[in-house]
Amino acid sequence: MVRLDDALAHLDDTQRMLQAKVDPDALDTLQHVAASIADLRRQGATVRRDIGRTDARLRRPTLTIGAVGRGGQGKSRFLQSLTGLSDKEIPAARGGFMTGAPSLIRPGTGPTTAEVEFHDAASFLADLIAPYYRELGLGPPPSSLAEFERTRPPALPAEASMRASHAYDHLGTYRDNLAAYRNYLVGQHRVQSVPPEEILRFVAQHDGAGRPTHDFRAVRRVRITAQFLHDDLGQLAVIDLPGLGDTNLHDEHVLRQALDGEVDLVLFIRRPDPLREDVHDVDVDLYDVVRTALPELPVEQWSFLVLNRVEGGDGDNTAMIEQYAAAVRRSRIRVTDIAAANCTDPAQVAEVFDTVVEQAVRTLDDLDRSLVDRRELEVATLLADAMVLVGEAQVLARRAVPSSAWFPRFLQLFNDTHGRLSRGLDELVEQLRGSTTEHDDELAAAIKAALHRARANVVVPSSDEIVTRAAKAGAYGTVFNDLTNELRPQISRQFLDLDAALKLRVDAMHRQVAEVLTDAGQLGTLHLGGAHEFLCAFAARLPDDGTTAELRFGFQFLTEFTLNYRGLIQHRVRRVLDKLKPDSMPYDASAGAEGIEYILQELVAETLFEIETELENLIFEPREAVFAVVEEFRDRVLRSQGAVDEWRTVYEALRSDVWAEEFEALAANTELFNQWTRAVEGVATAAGGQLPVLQRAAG
Amino acid sequence: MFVRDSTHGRVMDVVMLGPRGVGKTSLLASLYDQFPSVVGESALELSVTDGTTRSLLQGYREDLRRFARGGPARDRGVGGTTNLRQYLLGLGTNGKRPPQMTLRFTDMPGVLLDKSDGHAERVKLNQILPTASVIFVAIDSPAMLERRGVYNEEINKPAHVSEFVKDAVTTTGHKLVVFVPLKCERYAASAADLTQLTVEVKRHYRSLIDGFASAPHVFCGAVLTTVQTVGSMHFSRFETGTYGEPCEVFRLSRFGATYDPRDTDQPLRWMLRFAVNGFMARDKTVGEAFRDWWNDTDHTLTQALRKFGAACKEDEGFEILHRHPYLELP
Repeated sequence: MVRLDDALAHLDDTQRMLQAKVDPDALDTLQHVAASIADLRRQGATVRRDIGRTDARLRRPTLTIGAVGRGGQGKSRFLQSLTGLSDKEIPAARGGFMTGAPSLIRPGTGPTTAEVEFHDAASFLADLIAPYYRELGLGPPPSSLAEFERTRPPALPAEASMRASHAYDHLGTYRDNLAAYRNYLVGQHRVQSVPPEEILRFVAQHDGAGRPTHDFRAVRRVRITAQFLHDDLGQLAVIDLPGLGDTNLHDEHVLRQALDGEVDLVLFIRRPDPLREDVHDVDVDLYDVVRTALPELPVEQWSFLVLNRVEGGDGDNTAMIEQYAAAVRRSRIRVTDIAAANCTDPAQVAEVFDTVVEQAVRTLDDLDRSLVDRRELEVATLLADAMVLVGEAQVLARRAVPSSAWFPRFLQLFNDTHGRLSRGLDELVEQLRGSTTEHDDELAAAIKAALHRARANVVVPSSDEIVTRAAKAGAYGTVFNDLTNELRPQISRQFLDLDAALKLRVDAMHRQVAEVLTDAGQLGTLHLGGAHEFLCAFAARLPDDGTTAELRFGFQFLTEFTLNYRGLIQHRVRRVLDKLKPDSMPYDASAGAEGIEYILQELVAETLFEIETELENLIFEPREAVFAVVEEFRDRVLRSQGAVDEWRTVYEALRSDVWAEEFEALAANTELFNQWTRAVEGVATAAGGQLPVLQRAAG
Repeated sequence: MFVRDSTHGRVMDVVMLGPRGVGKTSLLASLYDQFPSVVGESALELSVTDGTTRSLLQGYREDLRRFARGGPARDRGVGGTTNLRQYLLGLGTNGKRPPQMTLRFTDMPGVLLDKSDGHAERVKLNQILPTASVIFVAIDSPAMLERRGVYNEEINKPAHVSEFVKDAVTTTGHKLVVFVPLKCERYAASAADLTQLTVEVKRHYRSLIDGFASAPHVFCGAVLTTVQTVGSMHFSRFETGTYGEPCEVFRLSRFGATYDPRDTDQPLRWMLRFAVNGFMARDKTVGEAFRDWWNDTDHTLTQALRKFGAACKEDEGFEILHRHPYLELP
């Protein structure tokens, strides 16, 4: 049930969100659904509350008997006779007391003990004060004790009924005497143990001298544990409820609350008038309060009327007992049984009580069963209503934008964009093809600079130095070979910096491709970063489930392509450097130092010339390479089988980014209604749950 | 093919053609250098009756040898020709005076090709060229091959040179054009390089060579002979000259390399083959016919032709580009 309410609450939240965003047609449906949700939640709250009540009733370990009667009818006396308690614990009107707060009396062993449970400020205002405001139409009830104290309730209209005037006066009494009982409401201890002789103070409306007291106004209930006269009443509890003699809203409220949550059986206590007796309106009113407190159970199945027989004296009403009983039977008051007992006579009371309990126990199971059936029926009805709601709500869910609504527009946009993208890539390929006959200016400049460096930096030792080295090495031939070994790396290292120029060419190519994708392909809206980053990030966003295999290959091929010294230049330089390998030119003894210097100078110059020649041939290659890469990329992503479908898949997934204006609303709408669908499904799932299990607690 | 000259008898004109610096004079010096050994194989002899010719050609020979030694001094080789010069070489049977024929070599300064038609020496060249029976087209091989031939147009001017050759061969008579790629030391070691060289030569002079076949009144043969002028000096690189012009730099091919020309005899052998065949086929006067009969000249010439003609190469850098009866051995 809680899950259902949560699901309904979520559905309600979702419908509120949707209301501002849907078209008028959908709004009508939505408002209708909203009303149904509200109804269902109210219904659910009632069902939950009823289940809670029933559950509490079934869990009560004792059979609780509520004694109900107008003031002065012998109710408290009956209870005294039943429990053996005195006026100290159970106030009787005869002594000028009136029950102002309910007392739950449970059988126990040992001396009598009592606990007083006080209202706190919130429950006092909500349970006691607010009903007056509601009943009397006094506007919003006070939200704090201070407000209640500070603000006098608005006056009643002049034509107000007597009952309303009484109630208004009663509210005034609460307010005027707040100071007398305020401490109990704001104290730290909600439950307080009191000695038996103190009980009266908290339940009676008057003291022994007939003066009004006010402590009872702060009391929710008093729990008394006392030794009953009959020790076979262990599973019973009785509750002394306020009378209903003075049209007191508080008393009626307390009575209803007690009947609703705590009482299994009601004993109406009535002392017929010895002279003339009939069923009065006050009797029927009291009966109606009881009857309507538990409307789902026929009151005649759980109420008894005990006629208080006064024997002897002025009040002897023995003669009127049967007469009154007959009058009751003629009236619309229906009770399980009518019994008569002298309430001051514990023996008679016990006898009547036994009869009542015997009958009550017989009907109690039926009542419980009937209650459970009723609760189950209510739950089933609620769930069925919830499923009806689901049906209504699903109609709205179907308004989520279906693919048929946006796909034609998407196709149109995709076809246009794919056309531009294809044209852009084709043009780029042609542009790059045309540039393959052009020098790579950056590379040419870098080569020129490297050669210039090399010609300046690679210096052949002078003949004098060669003589010195030959003296150390022992032979000119050795020196010549050593020098060739030294000169080769000196030359080759001059060209390492060409890496940067090669990278520039690849960067430019990546930039050009990225520009086509971001401009013609409209993928710039993805904001994936600069050229290479864009291409890598875009490639990473391609699904790897095989639906974009060609595109993934193409992008991988494109982004992984690189040009560097090692791959493009080094081997060419090394090949030329072979000329400077030892023994490439056998040393002839006649050459001497000058001959070695001359040959080495010539070889270095010649090597650099040949490197220049090699690299001159190379300066077309980066452009040729990037052209080949882009052409291959173009062929992969545009020409290969299924490539168009792959682009369509990609663009479909990205449509909200690429054509934000076109698809944002649609996508948002779809998402909204998808949320709605999920919320509706939540209700359906919750409504499919099992009924709660209710059964009377053991014992 | 031969002109009669009262002093020199039958004279055959040979022109060294080519732009400046490609090696015309070096080629001439090489030919002169090789003459004695090639001709000496036969019963013929070479005679230099002109003292100027002897001293000049001797000077060029020495230039070549000096260049061939290499070294830091960077000798530029045979000095360029500044004026159009003619060298007379007599060729005849041993001990017979005067020689049966005279080969008149004309060496021209390359710049003459760029002079206007009114230039005095250009006028002279224009007069000589139509009478020339043999034209040596000197070709700078590095310019044609290195750097994808980027300097070829500037150095060898093949189209420009072709125009001159065309003018020369359109006149009546038998002609021989000898394409001589020079400075081939660097490429001679590689058959692929030689093949590349012949391909490039044929490509650049394609229209000229094709013209030999298509002109019906022209009887022009053509051969290709690659030459290593000094043998010891390899092309090393181009450097940039004072005026931005490409300057070739050569270096010793190895420690201790010396003057060792290769195949410089080949142009000479082809020229002699053509000349002797032509000479034997000339229209003889009665006196000439008698003298030849008396001296058994034709037999001597035929034997000589067979001797030095047999060593003519026709593969790996050598090729008859267009056949001519006078290129055949008897």
